[in-house]
Amino acid sequence: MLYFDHAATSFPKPIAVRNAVNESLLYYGANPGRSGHELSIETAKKVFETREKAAELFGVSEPGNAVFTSNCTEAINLVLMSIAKQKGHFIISDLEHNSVLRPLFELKNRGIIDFSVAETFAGEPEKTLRSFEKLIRKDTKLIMVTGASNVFGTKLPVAMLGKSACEHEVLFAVDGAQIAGNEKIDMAKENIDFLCVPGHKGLLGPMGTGMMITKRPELIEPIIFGGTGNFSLFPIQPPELPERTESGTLNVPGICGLLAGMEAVEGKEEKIGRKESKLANFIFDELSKIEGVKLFSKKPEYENSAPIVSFVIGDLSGEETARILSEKGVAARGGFHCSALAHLKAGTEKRGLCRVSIGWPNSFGEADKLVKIVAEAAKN
Amino acid sequence: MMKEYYFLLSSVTSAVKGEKILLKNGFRAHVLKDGSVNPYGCGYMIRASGEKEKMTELLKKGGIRINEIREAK
Repeated sequence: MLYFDHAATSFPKPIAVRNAVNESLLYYGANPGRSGHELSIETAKKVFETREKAAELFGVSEPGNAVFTSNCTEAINLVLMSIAKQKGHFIISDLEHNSVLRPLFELKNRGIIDFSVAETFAGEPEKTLRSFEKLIRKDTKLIMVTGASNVFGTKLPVAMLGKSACEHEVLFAVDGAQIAGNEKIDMAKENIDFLCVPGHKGLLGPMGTGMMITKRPELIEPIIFGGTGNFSLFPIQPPELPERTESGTLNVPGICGLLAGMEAVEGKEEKIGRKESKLANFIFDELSKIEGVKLFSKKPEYENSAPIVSFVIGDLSGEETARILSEKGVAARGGFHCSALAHLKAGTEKRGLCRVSIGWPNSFGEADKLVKIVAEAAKN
Repeated sequence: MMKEYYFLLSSVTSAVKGEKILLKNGFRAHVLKDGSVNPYGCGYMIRASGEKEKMTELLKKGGIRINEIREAK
């Protein structure tokens, strides 16, 4: 199989990640933060080590402000539901995933908040910035953007938006689903108050892992309530992160795998991202030469785009295109990619698109095979 | 003989973090849990030996909220 679905989840995972998961089941098998025996405390130390690594990787000083979630969607919900306590107005981009759009839509329907969608302009960061700034109101509480579109790869000017949000005294959150692990993210330098990441995409950890990392822990409110291993005699949640938002037993095997994944990418984010971009560029160039292939994403240069190429063959829908590729051994994703806003923006809300997304293990040989398979499919 | 203290904390995260801070600074320290000693709802604490004031300062500087310090008997 040719796996080109890394924007959904990276596969295969590095050997170090697989080993870390196996080892966790052997050596870190007790519940952290619950008991006093050696195995429980050793497991808690491993969990803390993972928080330290995340804090280091994303430029925050306090490891306890790196909170584990089940995925990036839960991390995003944690931020949005917390800031919604302040009510007011939110701004998002027109490329956001449903994990951002749907919670806000729900909060608006409940009459709690209002939100606006800012138009983005691929390759024009200043124009994009102005588009956001025009929407800022006196009651704007939060700007949240994706680091890169999961449909078209388009990167947003995160650092510029962060600086602007800071100047306007508006909180700034980033959905790092498509950039964590293949681009250096520095929350301090980029003025990011809340960073939401999946553990299982560019960070190469197992599925079922995610994190919310913050510089503003005092603003985060739990969305799940229950046992945390502390303040056991009180009916209220503990006051401090991370326990405040981590009710229930943690996914320790996933967390151990995530630690190994973060160690694998640490310091190499740009190198990985640039290698992926080269392959994405090659695929884009070659697909653009094939009659009958219609490309919808722009040429994926590293500075402006995540390594994603979206297209359809002939009059086929995105799903049909992906199905034909699947029959020929290619794993790509067809459809709407949980991104209504992005597809509406591109006018692809009826047919959808087939998305090819590149990851760390892909090679030029695989990219070449993919192109040949698409060319063959386009002939028929 | 150096005195030993219990630093009673509110979570395992604080305990693990605090232990690392103290070990890094040359103190003998380890995490343990005893609900009969630490009544603050989690039981986690650090047992450490050395100068109390210095250890307390290091823990507070590291952002650790200490509920109580008791001398270990």
